[in-house]
Amino acid sequence: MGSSSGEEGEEEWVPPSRRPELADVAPLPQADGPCPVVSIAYRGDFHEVMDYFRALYAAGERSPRALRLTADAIHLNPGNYTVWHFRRVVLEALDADLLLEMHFVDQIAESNPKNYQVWHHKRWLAEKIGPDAANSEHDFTRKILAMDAKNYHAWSHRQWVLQALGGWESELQYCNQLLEEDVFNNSAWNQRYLVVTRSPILGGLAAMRDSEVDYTVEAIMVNPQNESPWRYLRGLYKDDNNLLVADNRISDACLKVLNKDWTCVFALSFLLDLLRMGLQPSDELKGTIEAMENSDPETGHADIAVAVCSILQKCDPLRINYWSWYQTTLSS
Amino acid sequence: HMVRLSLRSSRPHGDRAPSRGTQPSGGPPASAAPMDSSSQSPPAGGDPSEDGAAAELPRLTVTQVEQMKVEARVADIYRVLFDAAPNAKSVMLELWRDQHVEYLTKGLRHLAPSFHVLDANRPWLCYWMVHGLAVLDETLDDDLENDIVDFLSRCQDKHGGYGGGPGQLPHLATSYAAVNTLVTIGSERALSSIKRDNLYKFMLLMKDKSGAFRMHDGGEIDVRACYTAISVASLVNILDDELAKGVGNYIASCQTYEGGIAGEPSAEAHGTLFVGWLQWSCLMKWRNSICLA
Repeated sequence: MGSSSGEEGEEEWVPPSRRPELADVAPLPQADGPCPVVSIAYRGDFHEVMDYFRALYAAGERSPRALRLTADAIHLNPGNYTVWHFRRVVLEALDADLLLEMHFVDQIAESNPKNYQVWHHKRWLAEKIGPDAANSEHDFTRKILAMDAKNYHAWSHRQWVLQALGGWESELQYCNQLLEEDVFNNSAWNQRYLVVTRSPILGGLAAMRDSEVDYTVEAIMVNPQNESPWRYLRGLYKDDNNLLVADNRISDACLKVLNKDWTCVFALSFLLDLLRMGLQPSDELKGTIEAMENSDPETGHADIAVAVCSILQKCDPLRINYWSWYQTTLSS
Repeated sequence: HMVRLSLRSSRPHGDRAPSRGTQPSGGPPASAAPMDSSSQSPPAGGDPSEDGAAAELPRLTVTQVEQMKVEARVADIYRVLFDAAPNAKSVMLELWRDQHVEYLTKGLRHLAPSFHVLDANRPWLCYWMVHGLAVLDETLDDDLENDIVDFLSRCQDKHGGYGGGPGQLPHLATSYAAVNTLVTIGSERALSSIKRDNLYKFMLLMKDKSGAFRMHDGGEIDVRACYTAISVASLVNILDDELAKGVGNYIASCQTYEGGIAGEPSAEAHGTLFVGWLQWSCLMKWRNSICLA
C-alpha cells in the first residue's frame, strides 16, 4: 500500500540513516557550493532527511519508501513545493489511496492553514476524487473558518469545491450563520455574492436581487459604519445603474442613515454615485442635504451633487484630494 | 426588530437556536413576525448606539475586537512618542542604519536554524537582504556579491527559471526574487548570469490556456503568478505577445464586485493584489481592461 498517513504517529521517529529500507541509498548533499550564502543552520534531522530526499528525487524513484521520505520532508518544511510535487508524482505512480492522502494533508493543513502548498495539494486530490469529496472538503473548510473566519486560502478552496464539485445546498445558510456571528466579515459577504450570483439552485442575481437588497439594507441600518454591506449593495446592481437608481429602497436607506448621522461617508458617497447616475433627489433628500450644509455655513451649493461632494471633503479628510478632484468633474 | 437584537446578544457565541436549520433555501424572507429567528434577516452585531436596544449591550464581533486592539496598540505608540521629551523623540525616530546593515550583511552569510521554514525560498532571502542594503545605500563587498551571483546560478534550473534552492523545481516567485536580486546587484556578471532564453521557455511552459500562469510545474494558478511572470519578463526584456496574451482578461476576471482584484476569479478583493495589478498594468500599458469606475 502506498502508505501516506503518518505512521510515525506513536512510534519513535527513526532518522533515515538508521532505516534498513534506505541502507542502499547514498544521501545527496545540497549543492550550495564552496562559499555559500543565505546558509541556514539546519538541524541534524532536517539535514539528513533532505539529503536522503535529494537522492531519491534525483534518481526519480517512485516507491513507497520515497513516499515516506516526502512525508518526513513535508513535516520538517511544509513549504517545500518541490517535495509536494514529487509526492504527487509518486502517489500517481503507486496509485495510492487518495482518501488516506487527504487525511494526511488535512493534518498538515490544520497546523499550517496559510500555506499555499497544502491547499494546492488538497485541490489536486479533491479534483481526482471528484464530487464525492465535496462534503468532506466543505466540512474541512468550515472547520478552518471556525478558527479564522477570513482565511483567504480556506475561502478560495471552498469556492473552488463549490464550483468544481458542488455542495451549494446549504451555502447561503452558511453565509447567514457567519454574518450572524460577525456582520463585519467581508469574506462572508464576498461568499454571499458568489452564492447569490452563481449557485445553480438559486436562480441567479436577477432572481435573488430583491430579497438581497432587503437583507443588505437591514444590515446597513443596524451598523451604518460597516462598509461591507454598502459595497455588497452596490454589487447587487453591478452593470445596471438604471435599476439601481430606480430602486427607492436604496436612496431611502442613504437618507435614513444620513438623518441619524450626517457624517456617514458610505451613505454620502453612495448618494453621490446615485446622483451622478441620474437620481432625481426628493424634496426630503434636498432638505436633508441643506440641513447638513446649514450646519456648515461656508457651503451652500445649488447643485446637490456638488453639495454632497463638499460635505465629503469635510467628513472624509483622508480622501480630501479625491473628493475635491471629484468635485471638479461635476462642473461639466 | 429590537427584541431580536436582544435575543441574539443574550445568546453566547456559538450557541445556535434549533430552528435556524429550517432556513428556506432561496426565496425572499418570510414577511412574518420579526420574532421568527429562522427568517433570512441579517444579524445585529455590535452597534452600541442603537436606540431602544435591549438591556444588555450587543456583543462585539471578532472584527470589531481585532480592530479595537489594533487601534489601541497604535494609540499606545503615538502616546509614548507624544509624551517623550524632544531629545528622546529624535532618538526614537532615528533609523538604526548601522544595526540594520550589520543584520542584513550577516544574514546574507548565515541564518539561524529557525529559517528552515524558508528553505524553499532562499532567493527571497537574498532579495530581501540585498534590496534592504541597496535601500540603505550600502554596497556589498565583491566576494559576497560574487557568491550571491554564484548561489543564484545554482538555483537556476538547467531548463530555465529559478527554484527555491539548488536542485529545487523552478518557480515563478523564486524567479522573481532571483532576477530582482541580480538586477539590484546590477553588475555585468550578475546580469549575464540570467539565462534569458531558458527563462522564456520556462515561462511559456507555465502559461495556462486561460491566459494566466502557474507558479511551477503542476502548481497553483493565480494573479500572483501572472504578476511575477510579466514583471520578470519585462525586466529581462523577453515579454512578447505569446507571454502577454490573455493575461489582461484573466486579471480582469479577477476584479470583484468591490472593485478590487482577487487572487482568483470569485475570491475576495485583496489589497496587495491590487497593487500588483497596478504595477502590472503599467508594465503592460493596458489601463482600459479593468473597470475603474
